[in-house]
Amino acid sequence: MSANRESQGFLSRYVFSLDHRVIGLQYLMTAMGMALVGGLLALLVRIQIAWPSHEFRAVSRFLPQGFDEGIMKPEFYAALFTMHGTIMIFFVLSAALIGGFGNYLIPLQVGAKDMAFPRLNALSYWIYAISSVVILVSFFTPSGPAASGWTAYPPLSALKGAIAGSNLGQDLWLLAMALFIVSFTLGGLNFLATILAMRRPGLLMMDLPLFTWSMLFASILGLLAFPSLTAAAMMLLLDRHAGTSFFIPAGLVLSGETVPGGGGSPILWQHLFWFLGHPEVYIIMLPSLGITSDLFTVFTGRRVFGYTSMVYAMGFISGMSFLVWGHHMFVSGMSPFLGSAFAVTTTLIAVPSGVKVFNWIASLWNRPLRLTTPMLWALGIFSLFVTGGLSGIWLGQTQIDIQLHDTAFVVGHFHIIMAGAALFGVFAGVHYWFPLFFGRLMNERLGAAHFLLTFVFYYATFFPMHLAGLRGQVRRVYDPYQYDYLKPLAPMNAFITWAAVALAIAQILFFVNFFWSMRRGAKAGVNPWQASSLEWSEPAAEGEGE
Amino acid sequence: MSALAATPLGRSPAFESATRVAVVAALSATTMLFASLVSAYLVRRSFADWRPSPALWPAALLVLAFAASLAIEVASRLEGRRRRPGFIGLALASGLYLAGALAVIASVVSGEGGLEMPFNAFVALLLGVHAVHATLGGAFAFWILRAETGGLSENALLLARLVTHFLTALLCAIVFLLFGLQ
Repeated sequence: MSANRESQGFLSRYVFSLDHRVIGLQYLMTAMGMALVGGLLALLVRIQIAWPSHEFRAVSRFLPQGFDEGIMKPEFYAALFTMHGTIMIFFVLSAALIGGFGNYLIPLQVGAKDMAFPRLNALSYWIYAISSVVILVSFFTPSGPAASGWTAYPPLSALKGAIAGSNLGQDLWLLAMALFIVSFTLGGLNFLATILAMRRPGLLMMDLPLFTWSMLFASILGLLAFPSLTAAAMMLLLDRHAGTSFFIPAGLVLSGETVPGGGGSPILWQHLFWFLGHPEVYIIMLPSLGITSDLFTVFTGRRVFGYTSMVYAMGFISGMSFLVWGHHMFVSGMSPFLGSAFAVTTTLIAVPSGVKVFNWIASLWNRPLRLTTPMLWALGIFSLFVTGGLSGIWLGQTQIDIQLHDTAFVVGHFHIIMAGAALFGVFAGVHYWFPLFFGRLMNERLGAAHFLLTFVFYYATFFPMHLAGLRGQVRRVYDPYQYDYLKPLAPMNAFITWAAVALAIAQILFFVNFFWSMRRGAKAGVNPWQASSLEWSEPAAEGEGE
Repeated sequence: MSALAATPLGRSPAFESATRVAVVAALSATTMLFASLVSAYLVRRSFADWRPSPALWPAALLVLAFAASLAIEVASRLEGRRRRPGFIGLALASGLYLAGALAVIASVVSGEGGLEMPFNAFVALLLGVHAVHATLGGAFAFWILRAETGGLSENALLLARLVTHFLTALLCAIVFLLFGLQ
């Protein structure tokens, strides 16, 4: 294998490789690059919320189309939060956790030589790479990128002339999403086929690491939920270019003129979008939860408590995730009876989530913990899962959600439960499997410092948002202080923004540690964490390990 | 795609099993896609401005789809070179179906009300998406059957039959929803 690879050129070895390990790292590296873009957009959003009328001459020099005499334009602000959400949810977290870790680890953990369909696997990555390029290219279109939110609600997203971002930028957004869905679908087929059909003889499903189980459920979710967005995107594209009006209501007035046609329902888009949107939460969270369970096994020295119930809990969460989408639409005018049904199904998800929390506590209880950097990240996920899960139960109730809908409370909630738990999962996974990737260990001190700073500033950024939301701060507003009742929140918003800046700076430690350790980290040897799962029975990455 | 076609099928029982899992998963995803489109259709047809229009084309398209299903069944029951007429029939029926579907879409787009009429929009959408899947399914069937020239494996034939019958059943459901529910 080694000699074979050495005889390959750079392009076939690292760029157009069919090796699942290389493809996994390609996903991971691309997602890291996209994270830099998504993170930068988040900072710009936060700066605008904290100091909306402040002149930023230096920043405006780099982004002249987004600023007017140093002050951010409203449409640019809308584009920022739209692209931040889209990039982080799909192109960073989904790609890193599913594409990155999934590709690298599934064949190793099931004892297969590679994915069931290696060429399909490479095709999946390249479609993802192209979709990433398409979404980035939209920044350079004359009218700017999409600006209708990551949810792309019509009619804003359906009418080409609505705002600047409704033009070519929205088309590129739809194209990028379509490509991403194709990529994800191809990857999901491959994962399912590999896990279900390519396992080493004698390896039972109930012997698999919980990470592999989580990838199985995430793949099923993706395969069954993404088609809903595909359908919606096709209809939206036809509304924009073919004269249909699936989502455009009758009598809509734009710039003083009535939009021709109409008669469609914007609410229909919401149903189709959230039928994907909620399972997508679990698509990126389940791998993180799987990683946490596996790390608890490794760093407590005993198999995670209640392994079987963990599998069933993930399965139940996955199944239920198809029955809760309506809780995103409590204020859309839905029947109160339907709202109550969605509130019940949403609350039911707390049961398997509670099982997981109980099992994790039991796993940690009275056991010697090895507080390595990966374990610290796993504990961080545990913390975020509980914190964000509790506020999720609030938001699942119609009475509370109607008050808090579209406020900063929701932003704080989903950044903790979905974005945070998933992001911490990426860090946990990178630190844990780094020896497998590169044959070396990441620096533990730098890793611990990175964890502590990230943990503190993550909560400092997103916890106060709950308080701001409770006091009525609506999300996605260009200048919150145009409303008198929000003016007292200015200091809190400034604090949140400073915390976000500190959070961003803390990430430098990760990148330094990552690239430094690739070359100069301590050699890992075989199985440095004394883990028992199959991936560690493989030799370390070629040329780097012992 | 040429790289994909180079992959020999039927190399091992595990690989055959993996192919079956992948095809069933792909068909499940397709089912969900149409379920989403159909649910949108069912919502939209309850609106006050909904006006369906009768047409003769469904019968012709259904006949072609059933002919495709029949052709692959005939091919699967024969051996060796005797299968060839069945496969030719399959290709012919599929090609005619695609041409017919495109003609129907073109007539709907240019006909009375055009795509601004919600019923027409759904006809074009459902039929168009079905035609795309028929093309992809046909390409897949062609790929797995072509890769087995040395001796068609039962697995390849099973998958090609599964995809063909699935697409026929899907068309039946679409036609029923568009015209049977009125």
